[in-house]
Amino acid sequence: MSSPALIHLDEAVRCFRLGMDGAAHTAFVEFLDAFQGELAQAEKEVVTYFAPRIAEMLSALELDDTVWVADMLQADFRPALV
Amino acid sequence: MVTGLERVASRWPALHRQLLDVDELDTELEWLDHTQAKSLRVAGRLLASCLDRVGEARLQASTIPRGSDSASVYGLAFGDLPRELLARPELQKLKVVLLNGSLDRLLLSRDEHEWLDDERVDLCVGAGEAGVELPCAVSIGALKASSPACGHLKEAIVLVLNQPFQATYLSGVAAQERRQIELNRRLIETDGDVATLFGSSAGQTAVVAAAGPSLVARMPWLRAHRSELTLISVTTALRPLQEAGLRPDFAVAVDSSIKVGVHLDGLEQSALAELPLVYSPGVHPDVLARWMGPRFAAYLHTPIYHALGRELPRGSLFCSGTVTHVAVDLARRMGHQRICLAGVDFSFPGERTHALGVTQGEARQSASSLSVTSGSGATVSSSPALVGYLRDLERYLRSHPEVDFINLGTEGALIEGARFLEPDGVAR
Repeated sequence: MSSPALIHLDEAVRCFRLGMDGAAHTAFVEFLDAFQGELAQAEKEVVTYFAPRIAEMLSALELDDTVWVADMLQADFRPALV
Repeated sequence: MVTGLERVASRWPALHRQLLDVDELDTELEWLDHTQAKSLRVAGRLLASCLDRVGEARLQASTIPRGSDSASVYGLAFGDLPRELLARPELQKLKVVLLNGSLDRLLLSRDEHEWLDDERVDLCVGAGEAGVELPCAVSIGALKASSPACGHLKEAIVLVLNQPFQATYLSGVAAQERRQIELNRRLIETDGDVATLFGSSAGQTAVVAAAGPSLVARMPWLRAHRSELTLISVTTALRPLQEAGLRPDFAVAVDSSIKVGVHLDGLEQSALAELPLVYSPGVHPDVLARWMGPRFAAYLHTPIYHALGRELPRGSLFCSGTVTHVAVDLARRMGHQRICLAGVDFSFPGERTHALGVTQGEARQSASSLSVTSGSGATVSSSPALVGYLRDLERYLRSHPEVDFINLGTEGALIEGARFLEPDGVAR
């Protein structure tokens, strides 16, 4: 069964790629909440790996570079959740 | 190699000349050649996925129903999206709309774009397009890289793309409103009817105060002219007005969220005790219970009030998603001949979402897919929902030429149909 973080991630990626920014931002925030909840249980190396990537995604969002955010979610975060 | 640009010259010579005439691209470009796909960053934003361009194009193409015999594509990027759609044998006609002549000329000159030879393709520039032709698919990276000349088209596309989300949101709101209307039924029966206010201010001037960031800059003008006008405030703007020493004549609330109660926190009780509230019965019961002054129920021009209106008739007001619409229509129905708008920004001037003094006032808007032209001609960031509200208000203003609408500020979105103040600051 998919984790909540994975469900929200897939929805955020889909919506960012389709330009549905309102829905994408909602799903992205839900993903971050769920993912950070999972990170709280994770080993220190895992947290160290993902923290700068989360910061990079937030910076990309500030630039409205949503295609890059979708790429990062798919390439960096999704493999850790499946 | 035959380039895309040469193919354009052969099939669309006038368009080719147009592309040659546009200015050189004046923005930062970064070519990316990842193992998965090559892509390009335009002004810091990816034009297409560098992870899976074809997969991205396939997803975007999926917005066009299978079996469609014609479709439109907005944005060229690397041509993946038209290529994907042209693989459908049932598609007879594909209109591809270019969104940035300078960028597209560059892209067309670097690659073959063999799909341009497909007889089903028609190519055009977006600057002259009147609206979005459906069904359509959009290259999102190309949309974000669109030129200012395509600003109107970009706005229309963004509104189309976000319409399903807005509809889902509004249907959730409607469900909550239905529940709360039932809970508020006794209040509707005993409170005043907004219709009793209609016509009560014939020929006078009103100011509608919304809580946009520019409201704060309007305070000196409002204080100077306070005695000459009816001040109608949305509840979000009550606290900034109070901090400026201004007491409104009416407050308006229609949002069904319990969070509206936050707008009342910290307000002087003595001021609230005399302030009439015009509310739609979908407002949360706890918010209405906190209101100390007189209340007037108003129905909205939405389907959920139709049945209730037959059973329990009350005056109704225009609303297309925002309380600002309701406040403006209240001012008009009261008979005001001149309606001034303060803090009605429909955008984020100064990268703020609200006026200082509102709880969320300090929040900065970061990611924004849309921008609008401000009253001073600047570009100011906005959101699909706000732009939708803006266009609906403009339609409303057009339908009421008998009223003189005045936008008191130039920092927010330009509102067509609302003139600006005279240079001497008088709303004559």
